[in-house]
Amino acid sequence: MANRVQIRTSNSALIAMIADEDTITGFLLAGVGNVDLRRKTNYLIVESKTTVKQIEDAFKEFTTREDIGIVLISQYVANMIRFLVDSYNKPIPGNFGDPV
Amino acid sequence: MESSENGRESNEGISVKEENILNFLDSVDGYLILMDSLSSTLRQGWLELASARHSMGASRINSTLFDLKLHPASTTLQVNDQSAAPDRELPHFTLCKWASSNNPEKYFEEAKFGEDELLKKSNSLRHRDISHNSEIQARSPESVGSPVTVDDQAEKERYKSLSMFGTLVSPKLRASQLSFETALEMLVEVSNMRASLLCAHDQVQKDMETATK
Repeated sequence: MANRVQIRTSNSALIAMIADEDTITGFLLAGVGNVDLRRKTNYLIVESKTTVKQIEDAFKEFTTREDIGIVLISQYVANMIRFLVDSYNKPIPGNFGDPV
Repeated sequence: MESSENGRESNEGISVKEENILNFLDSVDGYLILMDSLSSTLRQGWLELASARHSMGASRINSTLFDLKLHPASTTLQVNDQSAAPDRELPHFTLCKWASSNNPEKYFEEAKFGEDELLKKSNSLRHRDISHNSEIQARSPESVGSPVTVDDQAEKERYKSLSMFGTLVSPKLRASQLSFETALEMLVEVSNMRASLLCAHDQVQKDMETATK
Protein backbone atom coordinates (compact mmCIF):
# COMPACT_ATOMS: atom_id res chain seq x y z
CA MET A 1 0.00 0.00 0.00
CA ALA A 2 2.88 2.38 0.74
CA ASN A 3 4.16 2.06 -2.85
CA ARG A 4 0.96 3.00 -4.67
CA VAL A 5 -0.56 6.42 -5.14
CA GLN A 6 -3.90 6.34 -3.39
CA ILE A 7 -6.73 7.92 -5.32
CA ARG A 8 -9.82 8.86 -3.38
CA THR A 9 -12.81 6.90 -4.67
CA SER A 10 -16.52 7.20 -4.14
CA ASN A 11 -16.63 4.24 -1.70
CA SER A 12 -14.06 5.72 0.65
CA ALA A 13 -15.09 5.94 4.28
CA LEU A 14 -13.88 8.15 7.06
CA ILE A 15 -12.61 7.40 10.54
CA ALA A 16 -14.56 9.30 13.19
CA MET A 17 -13.10 10.01 16.64
CA ILE A 18 -14.49 10.85 20.05
CA ALA A 19 -11.49 11.35 22.28
CA ASP A 20 -9.30 13.78 24.24
CA GLU A 21 -7.44 16.63 22.56
CA ASP A 22 -4.08 14.86 22.33
CA THR A 23 -5.51 11.77 20.67
CA ILE A 24 -7.48 13.86 18.19
CA THR A 25 -4.39 16.01 17.48
CA GLY A 26 -2.31 12.93 16.79
CA PHE A 27 -4.80 11.37 14.40
CA LEU A 28 -5.38 14.67 12.64
CA LEU A 29 -1.63 14.77 12.02
CA ALA A 30 -2.06 11.33 10.47
CA GLY A 31 -4.52 12.86 8.00
CA VAL A 32 -7.94 11.58 9.11
CA GLY A 33 -9.50 15.01 9.71
CA ASN A 34 -12.40 15.89 7.43
CA VAL A 35 -14.50 19.07 7.28
CA ASP A 36 -17.53 19.13 5.00
CA LEU A 37 -19.46 21.99 3.48
CA ARG A 38 -21.54 22.41 6.60
CA ARG A 39 -18.34 22.83 8.62
CA LYS A 40 -19.06 19.50 10.28
CA THR A 41 -16.04 17.53 11.40
CA ASN A 42 -15.56 13.82 11.82
CA TYR A 43 -14.31 14.21 15.37
CA LEU A 44 -15.39 15.44 18.79
CA ILE A 45 -12.83 16.68 21.32
CA VAL A 46 -13.91 15.65 24.80
CA GLU A 47 -12.87 18.14 27.45
CA SER A 48 -13.85 18.72 31.05
CA LYS A 49 -16.75 20.93 29.97
CA THR A 50 -18.09 18.45 27.38
CA THR A 51 -21.42 17.06 28.52
CA VAL A 52 -22.54 13.46 28.31
CA LYS A 53 -25.38 14.53 26.01
CA GLN A 54 -22.89 16.04 23.54
CA ILE A 55 -20.94 12.80 23.52
CA GLU A 56 -24.10 10.76 23.03
CA ASP A 57 -25.23 13.00 20.18
CA ALA A 58 -21.84 12.74 18.50
CA PHE A 59 -21.84 8.94 18.84
CA LYS A 60 -25.34 8.69 17.38
CA GLU A 61 -24.43 11.02 14.55
CA PHE A 62 -21.23 9.19 13.64
CA THR A 63 -22.87 5.77 13.76
CA THR A 64 -25.66 6.87 11.43
CA ARG A 65 -23.53 8.70 8.89
CA GLU A 66 -22.99 6.66 5.75
CA ASP A 67 -19.57 8.07 5.01
CA ILE A 68 -18.02 6.81 8.27
CA GLY A 69 -16.44 3.35 8.43
CA ILE A 70 -14.92 3.26 11.92
CA VAL A 71 -15.73 5.21 15.07
CA LEU A 72 -12.79 5.45 17.44
CA ILE A 73 -13.69 6.27 21.03
CA SER A 74 -11.46 6.57 24.08
CA GLN A 75 -12.05 4.04 26.82
CA TYR A 76 -12.95 6.59 29.49
CA VAL A 77 -15.32 8.34 27.08
CA ALA A 78 -16.93 5.05 26.17
CA ASN A 79 -17.50 4.39 29.87
CA MET A 80 -19.49 7.63 30.04
CA ILE A 81 -21.89 6.38 27.39
CA ARG A 82 -21.50 2.66 28.11
CA PHE A 83 -25.17 1.83 27.62
CA LEU A 84 -25.24 3.42 24.19
CA VAL A 85 -22.00 1.78 23.06
CA ASP A 86 -23.01 -1.68 24.27
CA SER A 87 -26.38 -1.45 22.59
CA TYR A 88 -24.79 -0.70 19.22
CA ASN A 89 -24.46 -3.93 17.29
CA LYS A 90 -24.04 -3.05 13.61
CA PRO A 91 -20.86 -4.10 11.82
CA ILE A 92 -20.36 -0.78 10.02
CA PRO A 93 -19.32 1.62 11.21
CA GLY A 94 -17.24 -0.56 13.48
CA ASN A 95 -16.35 0.93 16.81
CA PHE A 96 -13.96 0.13 19.54
CA GLY A 97 -12.15 1.92 22.30
CA ASP A 98 -8.56 2.99 22.76
CA PRO A 99 -6.73 0.49 24.91
CA VAL A 100 -5.53 3.22 27.26
CA MET B 1 -20.36 -51.15 9.99
CA GLU B 2 -22.93 -48.57 10.95
CA SER B 3 -21.37 -47.95 14.32
CA SER B 4 -17.90 -47.41 12.77
CA GLU B 5 -19.37 -44.97 10.21
CA ASN B 6 -21.14 -43.11 12.99
CA GLY B 7 -17.88 -43.09 14.94
CA ARG B 8 -16.03 -41.65 11.94
CA GLU B 9 -18.68 -38.99 11.43
CA SER B 10 -18.63 -38.02 15.10
CA ASN B 11 -14.81 -37.83 14.98
CA GLU B 12 -15.00 -35.53 11.96
CA GLY B 13 -17.70 -33.47 13.73
CA ILE B 14 -15.52 -33.15 16.83
CA SER B 15 -12.50 -32.07 14.80
CA VAL B 16 -14.55 -29.35 13.06
CA LYS B 17 -15.69 -28.06 16.44
CA GLU B 18 -12.18 -28.17 17.80
CA GLU B 19 -11.02 -26.35 14.70
CA ASN B 20 -13.59 -23.63 15.35
CA ILE B 21 -12.43 -23.34 18.95
CA LEU B 22 -8.81 -23.12 17.81
CA ASN B 23 -9.74 -20.44 15.28
CA PHE B 24 -11.48 -18.50 18.03
CA LEU B 25 -8.50 -18.80 20.38
CA ASP B 26 -6.12 -17.80 17.59
CA SER B 27 -8.26 -14.75 16.85
CA VAL B 28 -8.31 -13.78 20.55
CA ASP B 29 -4.53 -14.21 20.74
CA GLY B 30 -3.96 -12.12 17.61
CA TYR B 31 -6.38 -9.45 18.86
CA LEU B 32 -4.69 -9.17 22.26
CA ILE B 33 -1.23 -8.94 20.71
CA LEU B 34 -2.41 -6.22 18.32
CA MET B 35 -4.08 -4.27 21.14
CA ASP B 36 -0.89 -4.44 23.18
CA SER B 37 1.17 -3.13 20.24
CA LEU B 38 -1.41 -0.42 19.63
CA SER B 39 -1.28 0.60 23.27
CA SER B 40 2.49 1.04 23.25
CA THR B 41 2.43 2.88 19.89
CA LEU B 42 -0.21 5.29 21.17
CA ARG B 43 1.79 5.89 24.35
CA GLN B 44 4.83 6.69 22.25
CA GLY B 45 2.80 9.10 20.13
CA TRP B 46 1.40 10.88 23.18
CA LEU B 47 4.85 11.24 24.72
CA GLU B 48 6.28 12.65 21.49
CA LEU B 49 3.37 15.05 21.23
CA ALA B 50 3.92 16.17 24.82
CA SER B 51 7.63 16.71 24.04
CA ALA B 52 6.74 18.74 20.96
CA ARG B 53 4.32 20.84 23.00
CA HIS B 54 7.02 21.38 25.61
CA SER B 55 9.56 22.59 23.03
CA MET B 56 7.19 24.60 20.83
CA GLY B 57 4.92 25.93 23.54
CA ALA B 58 1.34 25.03 24.46
CA SER B 59 -0.05 27.92 22.40
CA ARG B 60 1.42 26.45 19.21
CA ILE B 61 -0.04 22.97 19.61
CA ASN B 62 -3.66 23.06 20.65
CA SER B 63 -7.12 22.46 19.24
CA THR B 64 -7.75 26.14 18.40
CA LEU B 65 -5.30 25.77 15.53
CA PHE B 66 -7.17 22.90 13.88
CA ASP B 67 -8.11 23.53 10.27
CA LEU B 68 -11.86 24.08 10.19
CA LYS B 69 -11.97 25.13 6.55
CA LEU B 70 -13.55 22.79 4.04
CA HIS B 71 -11.11 19.97 3.33
CA PRO B 72 -11.35 16.22 2.70
CA ALA B 73 -9.52 13.64 4.76
CA SER B 74 -6.18 12.56 3.30
CA THR B 75 -6.33 9.19 5.02
CA THR B 76 -9.50 7.20 4.49
CA LEU B 77 -10.82 3.66 4.60
CA GLN B 78 -11.95 1.34 1.86
CA VAL B 79 -14.77 -0.88 3.10
CA ASN B 80 -15.21 -4.12 1.17
CA ASP B 81 -18.20 -4.17 -1.13
CA GLN B 82 -20.34 -7.07 0.12
CA SER B 83 -22.30 -7.35 -3.13
CA ALA B 84 -19.05 -8.10 -4.97
CA ALA B 85 -18.32 -11.03 -2.64
CA PRO B 86 -21.63 -12.33 -1.33
CA ASP B 87 -20.03 -15.22 0.52
CA ARG B 88 -18.09 -12.72 2.61
CA GLU B 89 -20.10 -11.78 5.66
CA LEU B 90 -17.37 -9.91 7.50
CA PRO B 91 -16.73 -6.22 6.81
CA HIS B 92 -13.13 -5.68 5.77
CA PHE B 93 -11.33 -2.37 6.08
CA THR B 94 -8.33 -1.24 4.07
CA LEU B 95 -6.46 1.92 4.96
CA CYS B 96 -5.69 4.41 2.20
CA LYS B 97 -2.97 6.69 3.55
CA TRP B 98 -2.32 10.13 2.17
CA ALA B 99 -4.77 9.79 -0.70
CA SER B 100 -4.05 11.98 -3.71
CA SER B 101 -6.13 15.10 -4.14
CA ASN B 102 -5.76 14.86 -7.96
CA ASN B 103 -9.49 14.88 -8.49
CA PRO B 104 -10.88 17.43 -6.06
CA GLU B 105 -13.81 18.08 -8.44
CA LYS B 106 -15.16 14.64 -7.59
CA TYR B 107 -15.16 15.53 -3.90
CA PHE B 108 -17.07 18.71 -4.59
CA GLU B 109 -19.56 16.90 -6.81
CA GLU B 110 -20.37 14.47 -4.06
CA ALA B 111 -20.76 17.26 -1.55
CA LYS B 112 -22.90 19.32 -3.93
CA PHE B 113 -25.87 17.07 -3.33
CA GLY B 114 -26.07 18.31 0.23
CA GLU B 115 -25.01 21.78 -0.74
CA ASP B 116 -28.17 22.51 -2.74
CA GLU B 117 -30.27 22.66 0.40
CA LEU B 118 -27.87 25.06 2.03
CA LEU B 119 -27.66 27.28 -1.04
CA LYS B 120 -31.27 28.33 -0.59
CA LYS B 121 -30.51 29.48 2.91
CA SER B 122 -27.29 31.37 2.33
CA ASN B 123 -26.18 32.80 -1.06
CA SER B 124 -23.00 34.23 0.34
CA LEU B 125 -21.80 30.76 1.29
CA ARG B 126 -22.35 29.61 -2.33
CA HIS B 127 -20.34 32.47 -3.80
CA ARG B 128 -17.47 31.72 -1.45
CA ASP B 129 -17.52 28.01 -2.34
CA ILE B 130 -17.68 28.64 -6.10
CA SER B 131 -14.65 30.91 -5.97
CA HIS B 132 -12.80 28.33 -3.86
CA ASN B 133 -13.82 25.58 -6.33
CA SER B 134 -12.59 27.58 -9.35
CA GLU B 135 -9.25 28.12 -7.62
CA ILE B 136 -8.88 24.40 -7.10
CA GLN B 137 -9.88 23.67 -10.74
CA ALA B 138 -7.28 26.16 -11.99
CA ARG B 139 -4.59 24.43 -9.91
CA SER B 140 -5.52 20.81 -10.67
CA PRO B 141 -4.37 20.62 -14.35
CA GLU B 142 -0.88 21.63 -13.28
CA SER B 143 -0.68 19.02 -10.54
CA VAL B 144 -1.98 16.20 -12.79
CA GLY B 145 0.55 17.03 -15.51
CA SER B 146 3.64 17.13 -13.27
CA PRO B 147 5.45 13.89 -12.43
CA VAL B 148 4.95 13.39 -8.67
CA THR B 149 6.35 10.30 -7.03
CA VAL B 150 4.41 8.40 -4.39
CA ASP B 151 6.81 9.44 -1.65
CA ASP B 152 6.60 13.08 -2.70
CA GLN B 153 2.82 12.89 -2.57
CA ALA B 154 2.85 11.37 0.90
CA GLU B 155 5.40 13.91 2.10
CA LYS B 156 3.34 16.73 0.63
CA GLU B 157 0.22 15.54 2.47
CA ARG B 158 2.20 15.03 5.69
CA TYR B 159 3.51 18.58 5.41
CA LYS B 160 -0.02 19.88 4.91
CA SER B 161 -1.13 18.19 8.12
CA LEU B 162 1.84 19.56 10.05
CA SER B 163 1.42 23.04 8.62
CA MET B 164 -1.61 23.79 10.79
CA PHE B 165 0.89 24.12 13.63
CA GLY B 166 3.22 26.41 11.70
CA THR B 167 6.00 26.18 9.13
CA LEU B 168 8.84 25.27 11.47
CA VAL B 169 7.83 22.46 13.78
CA SER B 170 9.70 20.39 16.30
CA PRO B 171 11.15 17.06 15.11
CA LYS B 172 9.17 15.51 17.97
CA LEU B 173 5.95 16.60 16.27
CA ARG B 174 7.03 14.85 13.08
CA ALA B 175 7.91 11.76 15.11
CA SER B 176 4.49 11.92 16.77
CA GLN B 177 2.88 12.11 13.33
CA LEU B 178 4.66 8.92 12.27
CA SER B 179 3.66 7.17 15.50
CA PHE B 180 0.02 8.01 14.99
CA GLU B 181 0.24 6.89 11.37
CA THR B 182 1.52 3.53 12.60
CA ALA B 183 -1.24 3.46 15.23
CA LEU B 184 -3.78 4.07 12.46
CA GLU B 185 -2.53 1.08 10.50
CA MET B 186 -2.77 -1.04 13.63
CA LEU B 187 -6.29 0.21 14.30
CA VAL B 188 -7.44 -1.01 10.92
CA GLU B 189 -5.81 -4.38 11.55
CA VAL B 190 -7.52 -4.51 14.94
CA SER B 191 -10.87 -3.74 13.29
CA ASN B 192 -10.44 -6.61 10.85
CA MET B 193 -9.19 -8.95 13.58
CA ARG B 194 -12.12 -8.03 15.81
CA ALA B 195 -14.56 -8.80 13.02
CA SER B 196 -13.04 -12.28 12.50
CA LEU B 197 -12.93 -12.82 16.29
CA LEU B 198 -16.64 -12.06 16.62
CA CYS B 199 -17.38 -14.37 13.71
CA ALA B 200 -15.33 -17.18 15.28
CA HIS B 201 -17.09 -16.59 18.61
CA ASP B 202 -20.50 -16.87 16.95
CA GLN B 203 -19.41 -20.13 15.32
CA VAL B 204 -18.26 -21.60 18.62
CA GLN B 205 -21.51 -20.58 20.27
CA LYS B 206 -23.51 -22.26 17.52
CA ASP B 207 -21.47 -25.43 17.98
CA MET B 208 -22.16 -25.37 21.72
CA GLU B 209 -25.86 -24.90 21.16
CA THR B 210 -26.02 -27.83 18.74
CA ALA B 211 -24.04 -29.97 21.18
CA THR B 212 -26.47 -29.28 24.04
CA LYS B 213 -29.53 -30.12 21.90
